[in-house]
Amino acid sequence: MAVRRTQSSGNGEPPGDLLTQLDSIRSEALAAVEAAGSVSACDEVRIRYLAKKGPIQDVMKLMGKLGSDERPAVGERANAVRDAITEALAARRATLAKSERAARLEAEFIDITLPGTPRPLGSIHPITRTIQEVSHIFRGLGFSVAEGPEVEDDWHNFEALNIPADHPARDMHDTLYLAGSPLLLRTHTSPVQIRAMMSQPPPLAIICPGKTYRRDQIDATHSAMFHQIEGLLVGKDVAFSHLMGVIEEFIHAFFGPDIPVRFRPSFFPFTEPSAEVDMLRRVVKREGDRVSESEAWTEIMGCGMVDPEVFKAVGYDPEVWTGFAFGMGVERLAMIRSGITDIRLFFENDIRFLSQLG
Amino acid sequence: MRVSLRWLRQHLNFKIEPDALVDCLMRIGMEVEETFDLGMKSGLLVVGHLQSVEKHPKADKLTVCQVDTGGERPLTIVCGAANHRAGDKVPVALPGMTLPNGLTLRRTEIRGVASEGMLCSPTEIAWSQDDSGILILPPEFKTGEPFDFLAEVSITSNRPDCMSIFGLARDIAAAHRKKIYLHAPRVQEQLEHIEQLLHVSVKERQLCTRYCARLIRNVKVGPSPLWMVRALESAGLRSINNVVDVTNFVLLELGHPLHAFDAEMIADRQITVRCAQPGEEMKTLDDTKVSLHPDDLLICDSRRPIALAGIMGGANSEVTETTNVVALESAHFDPTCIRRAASRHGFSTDSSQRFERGADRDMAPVALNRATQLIRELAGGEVAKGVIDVQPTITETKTPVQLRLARVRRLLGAEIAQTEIADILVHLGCEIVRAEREQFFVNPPSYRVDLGREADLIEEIARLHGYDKIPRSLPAVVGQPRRGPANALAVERLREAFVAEGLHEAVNFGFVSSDTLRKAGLLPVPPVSVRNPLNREYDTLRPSVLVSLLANAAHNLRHGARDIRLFEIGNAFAADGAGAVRESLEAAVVLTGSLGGSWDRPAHPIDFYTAKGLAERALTTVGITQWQIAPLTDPRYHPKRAAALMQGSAELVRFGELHPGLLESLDIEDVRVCAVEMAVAPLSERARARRRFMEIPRFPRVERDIALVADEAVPAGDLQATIEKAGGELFERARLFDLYRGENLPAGKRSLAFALTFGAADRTLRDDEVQTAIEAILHAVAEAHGATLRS
Repeated sequence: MAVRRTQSSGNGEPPGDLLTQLDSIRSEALAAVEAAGSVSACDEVRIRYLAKKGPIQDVMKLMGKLGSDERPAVGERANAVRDAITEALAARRATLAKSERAARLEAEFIDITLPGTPRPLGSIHPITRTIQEVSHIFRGLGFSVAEGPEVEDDWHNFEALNIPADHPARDMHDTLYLAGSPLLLRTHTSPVQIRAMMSQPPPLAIICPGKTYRRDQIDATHSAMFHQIEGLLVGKDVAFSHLMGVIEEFIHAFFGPDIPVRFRPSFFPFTEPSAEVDMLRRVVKREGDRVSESEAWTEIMGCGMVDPEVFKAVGYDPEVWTGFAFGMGVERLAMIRSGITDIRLFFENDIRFLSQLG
Repeated sequence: MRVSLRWLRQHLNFKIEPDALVDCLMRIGMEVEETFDLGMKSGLLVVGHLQSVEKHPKADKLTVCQVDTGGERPLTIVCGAANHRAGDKVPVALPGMTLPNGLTLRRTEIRGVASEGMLCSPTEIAWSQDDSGILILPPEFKTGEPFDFLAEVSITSNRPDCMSIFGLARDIAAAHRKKIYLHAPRVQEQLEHIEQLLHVSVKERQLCTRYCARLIRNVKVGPSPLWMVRALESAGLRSINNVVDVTNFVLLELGHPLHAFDAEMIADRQITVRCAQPGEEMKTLDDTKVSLHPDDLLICDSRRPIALAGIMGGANSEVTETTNVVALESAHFDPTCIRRAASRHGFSTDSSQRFERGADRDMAPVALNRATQLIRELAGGEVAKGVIDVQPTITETKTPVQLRLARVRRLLGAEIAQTEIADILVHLGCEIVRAEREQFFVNPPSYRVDLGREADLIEEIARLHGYDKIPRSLPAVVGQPRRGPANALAVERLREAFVAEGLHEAVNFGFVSSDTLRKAGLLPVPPVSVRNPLNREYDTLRPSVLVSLLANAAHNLRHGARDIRLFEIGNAFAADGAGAVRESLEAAVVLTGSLGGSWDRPAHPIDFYTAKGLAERALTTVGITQWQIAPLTDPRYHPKRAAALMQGSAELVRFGELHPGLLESLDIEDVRVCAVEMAVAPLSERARARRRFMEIPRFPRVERDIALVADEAVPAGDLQATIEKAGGELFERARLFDLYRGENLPAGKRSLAFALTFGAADRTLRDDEVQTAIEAILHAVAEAHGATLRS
């Protein structure tokens, strides 16, 4: 495309001629805009017509030779031409930019089925998770968490809990003792309750999660170490009915609402009356192809009203204070809820197990 | 304890069906562990009367039997056993019956003969281990009636009174608000008085609290009748001979242990109850030679021990087929004495189990008479006149137990009417000595050794009222304010941080094997050992959490894992030298393999710096922002690739590559393993100073990169420290972003590239200000480390 260069001669060109020139610049430029096929072509058009040394500017330079009455008309026309070209360019540019981007994106296809970048995935141990969840439920009920040592003495683990010196539980067959000392590995987390009661006056509402040890042969359902969560509520009028209410509430919160819960009389040296707690759960049995579903009562925990002897041991007056205590196995809770059939899995710490349940 | 409903029903004066029995036992606190329906529940296993037994026409080893099962016509049953005869009573399983082994019976045809049921052997119906043929039933059994129902019942240790058929029936009856009675057995006696024939002297009247005896002459020891054999079997006992069987039968029936001596073996017909003398020995019935302890209570004759009191008889006075005179003992012993002796010598007999939990003093003469009557019935003989009864009553006065009804209501949270409470107590055999407004004074029966306090009686009221009838309600839980465990927050933060870093939490036993520790050189001196470990694998409390994690790593490597990232927060143990054990909560990490990596990017192998990053993360996550690094000398770690983060002289966390020697001793080979270890308490204590908020800068920061060339020996941390010190007011931080060795650099030199950030709180910095600061830095590193700007 040829660009008409105005010859600047200075010998007074008539204004009509300048106007015509501007008009032809306009139509020429608009045609160029129309013809621009890309964003960069648009930029070229802009430089060619609108730059400081462009044709419109050339015309303007000739204006000086016109009479003052003729100048405004030419100036006005020059501005109108510039505006028209600018506007046309902007529109053209936007259209082109849009389609160019669309084309670029279209070309940027990738294989969306390739694997995502793996993030290192950590996990919380199912026992910790269970303890956290149980603690959360009991905190909501008003209990606070207490902890204590795993290595205990005879008094806190047995004596104060009304387990007399000759009780079979204190036998070397059931309890692990430390060599060369009267200390032992706690067989339940009840000593934490004793320590809590010794350290503060009633009322008291605590739960005690932690490791416990028994001299048990290890198999699918027994372990030499397992975790317990025990609870204790001491108040002026804490009753057996409250114990049953709290335990039922816990089971409904942990295992699901509306699960039937039953209390059976039982015996523990440190509570009276005592109870075992069962919940009704669905049991799915598979024998070959046959799948049968039935309901069965499953033991969840033991509990009872704190025996007056225990209160006497810690210096609480059993005439003034009453209380209840309960205790459950953490592994058992986790096994029931997650369908784990072998307790040993918890302590092998196989990452295939941990990453599955964490 | 295995309970036969057939036997139980003989003591109940009302009818109870199997399901009701199981339900009732559960409600009164007797746990039913297992049940076997032998017809009483389904009606499909009944007593059959064999009318004829003939050879199968087509099979030599089969018989075809006509069996009367109480129906309109006898059933034809093909049977492969050989011990059944016409006229026998046998258990017959009918079509539809599911046997304890899970097999469901169907009508079949055996070699052309239709068989309408099955004659059962003891093993087929979980009756006994006897596999010799069909179970032949006593002729007294009624044709057509269901055979039995067995329940395995677990009796809690506070209820020795329920360790018998009669005792259990008594409690079941109480639960039904009925009472059952034991009819005093009548014994036919001869003229000669027992005191002329047997002398009893009790030396230890505290330990032997009652001693009753009878003497029966001219007994004929022999096999027991079928009803006796089957009754013993129903409880899981084997028949021995009629006299011994009677003592066992009475033990099962009434719960009171008895012992029968061959009276002619009792030297001088003198029974002395005393403690063992030093060095004394005896041989028990089961041929165990027992070296006696001075606290063992013995039944002796004039010369030697003839029984370990309450536990087991001696071999020297055992009743055998040649026995002619039987001395029958029914005594009562101190529970603790029996428990200690039984545990000392490793005995747990039907007798010791009952005495150590507490037998019924008043039952001693009753059981004695019951046994005497049965021996006469089964073995004949003449009973000497009278009963020896040492300490028939004890002088100890029992004060009645006060039971306040307000206390019952308060403890149970239930309104139970006074009349119901009285009714329950009476049905339990308690005597209400005095009934006042709002309180009773109660004497518990002699067989309830567990009832001595008000709380015991309240428990009984709850039990027989029914736990399910007590309303359940939520209390207002109010406790004195308590602080949670000291380290709880730090533990939670650390756990969250480790999990976020892609680590799996492990939980391990607190004990490990001393062998492993020794092999790895980790056995502390002194170790914290378990006195009575179940096995050597768990005989020492772990000195560190790391030991357990390394065992987990080894396990995972064995199972094919390559990338292992584990942490544990748990206690480690140390002897404090003064006989106590110090428990400290530790957090530890083990890492091996690599991190990340995928089809589009390489994996990053785990190394010292991964561990260092985790160590730093652990500190910042609990709120510690200041520390120094120091080299670490710990034989468990790589001598050159381990360090500790410190505050002054206090170590906060140690980390690094583990020593290959340590790994090898734990069966971890060919991989590098890194670890991080910290004690939680010091972190938690130091974290108390909260982090302070820093104003977020409103003016732009200026970043400049510089690359410094320095000797290899110059630690990056020293350079960094020098930069930080020399940076001046405008300096904010320096971050090492590249480390380069090799081409274009002289040997022994390396280039460290730092990104420096400058800024001011009140203005945008000018170029020349930044330049001045950088020059100061360059000057300082040149001065201190001979480092130069890389061109």
